[in-house]
Amino acid sequence: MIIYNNVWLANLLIREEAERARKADAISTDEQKKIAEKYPVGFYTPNIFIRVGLFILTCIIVLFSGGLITLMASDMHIIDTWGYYLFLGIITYISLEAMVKSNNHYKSGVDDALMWISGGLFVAAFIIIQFKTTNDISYSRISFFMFLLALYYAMRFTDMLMTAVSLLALIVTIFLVWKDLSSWGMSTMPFLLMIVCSCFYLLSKGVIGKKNAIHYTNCLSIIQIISLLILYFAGNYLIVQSLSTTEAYGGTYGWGDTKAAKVPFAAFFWIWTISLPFVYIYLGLRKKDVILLRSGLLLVAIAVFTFRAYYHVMPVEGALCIIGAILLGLSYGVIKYLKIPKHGFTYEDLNEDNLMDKLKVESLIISETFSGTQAQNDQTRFGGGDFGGGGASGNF
Amino acid sequence: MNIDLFKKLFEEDCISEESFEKIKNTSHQPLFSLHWELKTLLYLGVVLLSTGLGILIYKNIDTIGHQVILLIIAAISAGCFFYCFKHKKPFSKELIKSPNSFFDYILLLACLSFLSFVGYLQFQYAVFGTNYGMATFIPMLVLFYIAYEFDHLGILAMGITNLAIWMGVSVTPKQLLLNTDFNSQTVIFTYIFLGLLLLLAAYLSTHFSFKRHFRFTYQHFGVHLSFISLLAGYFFYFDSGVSFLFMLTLFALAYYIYTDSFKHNSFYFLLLVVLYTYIAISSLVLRALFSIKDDASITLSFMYFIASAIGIIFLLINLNKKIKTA
Repeated sequence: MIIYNNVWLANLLIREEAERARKADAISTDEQKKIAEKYPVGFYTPNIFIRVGLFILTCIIVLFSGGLITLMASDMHIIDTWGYYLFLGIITYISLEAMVKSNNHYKSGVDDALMWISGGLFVAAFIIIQFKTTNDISYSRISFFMFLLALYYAMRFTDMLMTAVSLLALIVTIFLVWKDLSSWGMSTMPFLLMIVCSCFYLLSKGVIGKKNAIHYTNCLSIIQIISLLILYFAGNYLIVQSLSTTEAYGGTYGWGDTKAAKVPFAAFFWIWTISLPFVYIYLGLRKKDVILLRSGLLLVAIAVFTFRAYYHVMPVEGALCIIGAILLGLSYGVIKYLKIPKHGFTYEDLNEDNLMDKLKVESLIISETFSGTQAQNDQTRFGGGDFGGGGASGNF
Repeated sequence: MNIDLFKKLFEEDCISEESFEKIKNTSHQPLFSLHWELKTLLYLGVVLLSTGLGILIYKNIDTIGHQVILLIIAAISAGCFFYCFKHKKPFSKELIKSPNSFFDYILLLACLSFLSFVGYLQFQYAVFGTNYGMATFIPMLVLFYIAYEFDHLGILAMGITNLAIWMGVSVTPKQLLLNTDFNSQTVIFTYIFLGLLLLLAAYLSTHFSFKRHFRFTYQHFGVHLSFISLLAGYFFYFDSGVSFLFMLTLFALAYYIYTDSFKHNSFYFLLLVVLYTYIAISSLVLRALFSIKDDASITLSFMYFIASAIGIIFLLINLNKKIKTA
């Protein structure tokens, strides 16, 4: 299914692993070079700047080629038919496959541009078909088409953004279909979406790291992030209430279209809104899962906004001051607490070069097993690194 | 880390036994870094606190009076500066790492509150009178001094922005007030001058090895400013022959940046040079094509763009290779 050379993809993973080991100072640069020689990768993957440049230039080429073709075909009255867009899309897609297969472009900017342009043209063609053939436009059909298309691109090119688009399109499709299915569609919507999102999350959690899905690791991480966020938003009080009372969605809770309308199971949704972010953070810290932790931190802010939309406990400036002070104090406290890594947590940036020198990991492990005084001794040894600064922060 | 993989690599004789031991050791006790989370929280804390205080002061302006507010802002700024001066490392011409990550944010808070202090002073009491040049010149000096003293890139960028404001203000307001129209001719020349000045600063930083790592920030602002203002100058004088002078300057500058980016192995500036030069050449070509006044000129220009963009792609790929091996 994947268009890329499988051996090269596997070698790329090995190289990444070696790079990480080199950054952690576990292996030397020579050893890294040796590994790179042994596991060749033939992809053309330039750095981010060149990638951006190639993306822009490819867009220019496609735009003007399309313009030129349109100019030549302008007399034939085919420009507003769906076939014309399909034709352009197919041409772009063929050139994408050709670029990747013959020139081994891999996330080079050229393939990104061709991928998005061809996908856009296919969707445009599909929408035009919809408009031409039926009178009532079914959005669920369009979003389902987008889901299938983006899923195909994501599977074939292991693209992260396409994965995100396909997952979102699928969720929109489920939403639209369920809404029209029956009269109680809207009232059961939050629960349905919660179930669907948790399924997606657990599924991707189970599949990630498996041998068959090794090349899709990034895509699966994206699925985790999005499903966690949607899982939260499905039960967020503000969203549940505004969706259920908006006239466009039928107001299926039955009474009123004012903002003050009550939502059944209000207590449940409020608990969900406030506590789920903290559950995420707790689980993220316990399982040392970055995705859970960061989405939890993000959602705390959203929970605060939701709460403030209903209850004005204090004016904005007071809230800002207090929250700001709490954040400053909290992070300062945690940084001080983690000066010596504890319970496997550290404040150090693990992606920096020569980390081992700075952290002296072996002494860390010792300092954790020994008692307090020993750890104190270690602290001075730490001082050689970035932090000490003559105990700058210690005497603050 | 993936132990099985490294075991295989070890058996294939890619890594030494010592390295393998190290890898085994680290994967026993994997550390989980909270670095970015905590940094984000710190930054958010500073931003929220300063915004909250700002609104609080603004709302209560009637009850507490201007002097008290000024005093509060000054106290915050002075307190932060005091902390920074107390904990700073001695000045050096090379890169100085900040004592701790808290330090950077305190310094940022100090500078932000200093700027609002000066602004407030000027707005309320018009300390500098109508001499707006002075009102922006003094903060600029302070910002540059702090950036060099504490080795802070963010504050250097603030200083450069302030420099632009100062130059813009000290050049145009007279005309602005007298003619009530924006004389873009003066503005263009000012910004060309500013851009070249920044490029000079970038050059001098490396030439005298005085804060070498500041070069990137200077160069970044300088390249964008000078290319954009040269292009603007070209279009402003489009009808007269002077416009080609701008183009000549642009190509000369492009050549300089091109050689410079090879010297410093910088992909970023290479890309910028290629794209800006491409815009310049394209506008010249389009001008030539449309001066033919023929129906074919549209088709020709389309073809030009397709061909030239393909050419630039190959150029970029080749330059990328060249810079990597250089």
